[in-house]
Amino acid sequence: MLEKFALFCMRHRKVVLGLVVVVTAVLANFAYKIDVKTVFEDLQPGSHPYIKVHEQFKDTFGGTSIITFMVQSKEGDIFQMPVLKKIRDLTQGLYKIDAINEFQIFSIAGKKLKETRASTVGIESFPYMWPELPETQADIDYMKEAILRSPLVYGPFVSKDLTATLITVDFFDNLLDFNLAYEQAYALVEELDDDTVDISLVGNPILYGWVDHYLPETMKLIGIAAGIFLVLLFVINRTWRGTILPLLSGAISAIWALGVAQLCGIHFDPLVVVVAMLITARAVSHSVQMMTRFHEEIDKVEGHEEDLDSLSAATATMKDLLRPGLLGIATDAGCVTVVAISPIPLLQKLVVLAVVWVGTVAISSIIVTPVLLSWVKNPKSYAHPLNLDLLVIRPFLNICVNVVATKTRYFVVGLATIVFIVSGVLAVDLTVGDANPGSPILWPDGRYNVDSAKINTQFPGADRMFVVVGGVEEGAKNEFGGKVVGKIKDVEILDGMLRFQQYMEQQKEIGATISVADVLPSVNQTLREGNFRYSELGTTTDQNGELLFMFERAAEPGDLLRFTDVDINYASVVMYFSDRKGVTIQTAIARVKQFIKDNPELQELANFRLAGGIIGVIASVNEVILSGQIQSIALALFILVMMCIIVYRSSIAGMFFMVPVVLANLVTFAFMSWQNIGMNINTVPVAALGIGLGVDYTLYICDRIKGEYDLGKSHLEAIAISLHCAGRGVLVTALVLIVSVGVWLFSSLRFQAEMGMLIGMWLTVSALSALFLMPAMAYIFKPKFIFDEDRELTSDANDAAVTGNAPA
Amino acid sequence: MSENNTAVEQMSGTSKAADSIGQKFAKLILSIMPWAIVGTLLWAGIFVKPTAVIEEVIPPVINVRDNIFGLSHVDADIYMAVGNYGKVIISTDKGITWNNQITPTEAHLQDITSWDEKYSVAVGNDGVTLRTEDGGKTWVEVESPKSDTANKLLRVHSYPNGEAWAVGEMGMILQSTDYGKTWNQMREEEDVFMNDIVRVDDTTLYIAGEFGLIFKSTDNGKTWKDTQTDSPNSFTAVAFRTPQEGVVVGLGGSIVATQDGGETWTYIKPETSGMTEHLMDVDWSENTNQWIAVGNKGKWIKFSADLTQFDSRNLSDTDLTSHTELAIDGDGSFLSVGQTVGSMDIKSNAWTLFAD
Repeated sequence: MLEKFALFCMRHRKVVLGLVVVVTAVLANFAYKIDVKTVFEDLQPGSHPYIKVHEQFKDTFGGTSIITFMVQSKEGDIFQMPVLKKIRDLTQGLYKIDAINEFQIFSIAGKKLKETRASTVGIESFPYMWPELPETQADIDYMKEAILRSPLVYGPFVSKDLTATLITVDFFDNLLDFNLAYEQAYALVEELDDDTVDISLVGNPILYGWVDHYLPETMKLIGIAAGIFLVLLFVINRTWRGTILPLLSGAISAIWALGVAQLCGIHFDPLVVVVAMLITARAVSHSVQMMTRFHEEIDKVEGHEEDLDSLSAATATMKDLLRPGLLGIATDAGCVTVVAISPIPLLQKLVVLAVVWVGTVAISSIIVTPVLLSWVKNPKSYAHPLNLDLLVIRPFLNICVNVVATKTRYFVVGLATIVFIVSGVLAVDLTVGDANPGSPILWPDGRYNVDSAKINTQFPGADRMFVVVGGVEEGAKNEFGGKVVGKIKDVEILDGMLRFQQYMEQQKEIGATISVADVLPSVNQTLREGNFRYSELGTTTDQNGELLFMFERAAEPGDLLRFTDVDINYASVVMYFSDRKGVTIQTAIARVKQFIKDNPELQELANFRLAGGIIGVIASVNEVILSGQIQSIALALFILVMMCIIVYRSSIAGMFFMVPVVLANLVTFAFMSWQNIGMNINTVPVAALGIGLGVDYTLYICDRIKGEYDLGKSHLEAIAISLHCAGRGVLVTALVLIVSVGVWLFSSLRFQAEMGMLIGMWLTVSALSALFLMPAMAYIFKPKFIFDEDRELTSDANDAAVTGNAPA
Repeated sequence: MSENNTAVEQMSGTSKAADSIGQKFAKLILSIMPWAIVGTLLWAGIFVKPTAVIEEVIPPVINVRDNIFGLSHVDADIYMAVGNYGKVIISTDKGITWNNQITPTEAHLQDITSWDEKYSVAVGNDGVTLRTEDGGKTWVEVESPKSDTANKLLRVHSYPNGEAWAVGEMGMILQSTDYGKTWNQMREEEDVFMNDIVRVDDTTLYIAGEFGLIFKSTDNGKTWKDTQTDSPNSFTAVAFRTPQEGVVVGLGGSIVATQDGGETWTYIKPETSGMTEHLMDVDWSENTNQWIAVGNKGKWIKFSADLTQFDSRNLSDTDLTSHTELAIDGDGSFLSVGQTVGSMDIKSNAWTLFAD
């Protein structure tokens, strides 16, 4: 059937080519318009309970788009006029940034942070320096003391050494444009940063702004990678077609995939550029295989340099390579599809993109390449005389053959076993979530991470998680399914919140926690003449109600909203994290659950719910990744095995092709674990797509061995022929791609550099196992699906002739 | 020959049979294994959910959120302190490190007093009274008289032979003579805060009260006489260095002093002392020959017995936390508790923080 299809394509090659050109032209039009941007909601697993809590409360209790400025005095503390003026100017400058939520500005120069004082009417609250700056030194001293006395400000917003203060602002998510926020925020920083103060800036919009900032550089790197790729192909293949065709098939695939994505309304996340590289690498790889085989077919025909030879060679190539090619593409696509079980929209969209992309390789490489090759004139002429085939490639492939032919093959298998075990052990330690403090997307010495480190040394942390307490609205259910009965001002609930906060703060990465329960003791103390022995919650619900009322009356409307909702049915406990490391977040979440478990009666009343804020969102993503990790690997392998079993009608085939895949992935995971690269939302696409992509090389080599053996060659002859043809394709692709991928090491985005390294490593392992390990295993175990015993028997006596060595 | 041949054939026959059993077994394994692996993969893909490895968290003895309200200098290097949520802690190295003790209450404890290394009592909110006979290894809650209105006990002090006095809200004055096992109410309930109590000799006791009131008993607490001083503010602590010379401190930096056994009280105005913040506790430092008081917002003061020299200070530039009690150490320093726990060297004014 495959043969008929190949013949059909070749017979109607003009029509086929015409169709491809037309479709490509149409899709190019769409691909051109694809949105390149990061949509933060896409990174959230919408069905996860944390995300539901987050979405419900993010507007009041703090979303994921909070940006944080730190104003640090260069000399002395912040309580000096020039510094205070900077703080004021920065706070007012925030209004110039688009899409900010002006009710969520926290600054000592803002309206939200206040001093609470006793007065004749009970208590009153006063902003520290809003709207006017203090005028005299005495005013400044007074403000300084007021701040030092407030645990809600001194610590969380003014650093313990008094040299720095934080200014935070949230955005309206639906209006937010990362790039604009990035530009405007940095413009504000540039405007104010001078000899008096040092301003640091962090936050998700800024982070993704940086990714966008590097987009031109990313494009440049793609260009350089493509350039290197072309030069290398030209040098090695020595023909223009050998250079252009692989690039062409890569380009056609990319255009089709991006065009279809655009039609489906999927945008292109700059962070998945490396994934695109990965898939393009596959397209190129298939194309190079075609090319290599074509040349081999051409070389078989002596002396002719006519058009007809090209056509028949191309037909033969296509006919023979259709099976391994399509099988490779099908397993790639199948394994990628598995990733779609993840509830993270980014990954689901990525799957659509990747499956289409991988699928188009079937057309761009497996059909278009041979079709175009069929028109080649003078197929035996070369563009330059430097013959690397003679100098490097063939000697190297001879080594491969020798390894199989000699006892070294046992050494190779043994070595692979050791690598397998060692990397298996290492891979177990793979971190889920970020492995290091700071953003793993950027280099540690990048401005963003330097700023982030500065802030985290001065403050309990810039990243927040909130837990929601309460919920007495109509029909609200607690986690036991019972009706929620507690009210926030219940003394048990408030008390429980404080105990919960104390419990959570024991974890050293949680710098501080804040809730409405923190406010009431100081109100109580103020009402009790400032006697510190009364710095405690009210003893009854009524008393707490009064305290809350007092606080509200002293505050501006909306001041309480960072702690509770308008009707005081829900309250938040906000925790400040000093890093986003996976283990930090896991520990925090586990501790919240532990507290709930240890206090069932409290939970019945208070209904603690996880979790919102940036840390809550990351926690949900990490949980999804963690629980999906084994799942996706296992299912991808399952699909791979089943496909091989079906195509080769042998269960052993499934096992056999699992080896290079598992090996490549284990080594990659081990490398990630060793280099402290965590499995997070950014790395998971690469890791997940990598699962299925390791098998192509081996498929080509084994299929060729089988083909030659069926034609009557001996075991070793078949292996040697395969290594010199399919193996050459593997070697050339791997070589060219590894060098091109190396370009990413120079990326300003650490994430891209690391992913480049991972892909390089994965290519290396796949290629090495296809060239050394798999032929060795094939020769040692002689599986029937490769060496079919039913063929007409030929003696193995020729084996010695192949290598000049006696078979072992 | 033929026999030999047969034997060989037989032998080869058996070995063939053995081979084929081995081969069959290998074949069986080989044909089962792939499907076993496939099955395992499918099972893992559907059912296996790994769980996270959690780092263990060891809480510090004194948390940022702990408020330590009461302090007792037990003996030499041993101190005990109490705080919110039934917290009792002990230090055997002058407060540098502390250990938690287990108590049967969640009420905020306000004060602790010790007779010796074994016997102590602690009092606090809801009129809770705890006692230990074994240095705090076990704490038991004991019955004590309670008011229907409010019951917060604020201070407790111990005297030889198992005597203890505790005071609190609603005019509560309690006495125990059996190391805190039983307590007797020594005055009618009244809506006045009794903030501190001190025994100065065999018969005389003083109480620091609200709104400038000082109570005095000369008959071991059977009857009480109140004196209105010139201070408009509530008092929080009282201490005597001799039966004649005593000091009472209070809110708004109030200091009143007597040189004549409580007959007359001199009010030191904040302008004189330079202290305007609340003072919460006072005691006499024999070593440096001064009165020492601590209070809110990181303030403390030292002043001479003749009330001529006053030195108001901050604990440190940044520690503006409130402190409720102090304990004078023989070596010229004092330990102070409240939002933070630390030690002050009285002469050099150097503040060492032990816990946030």
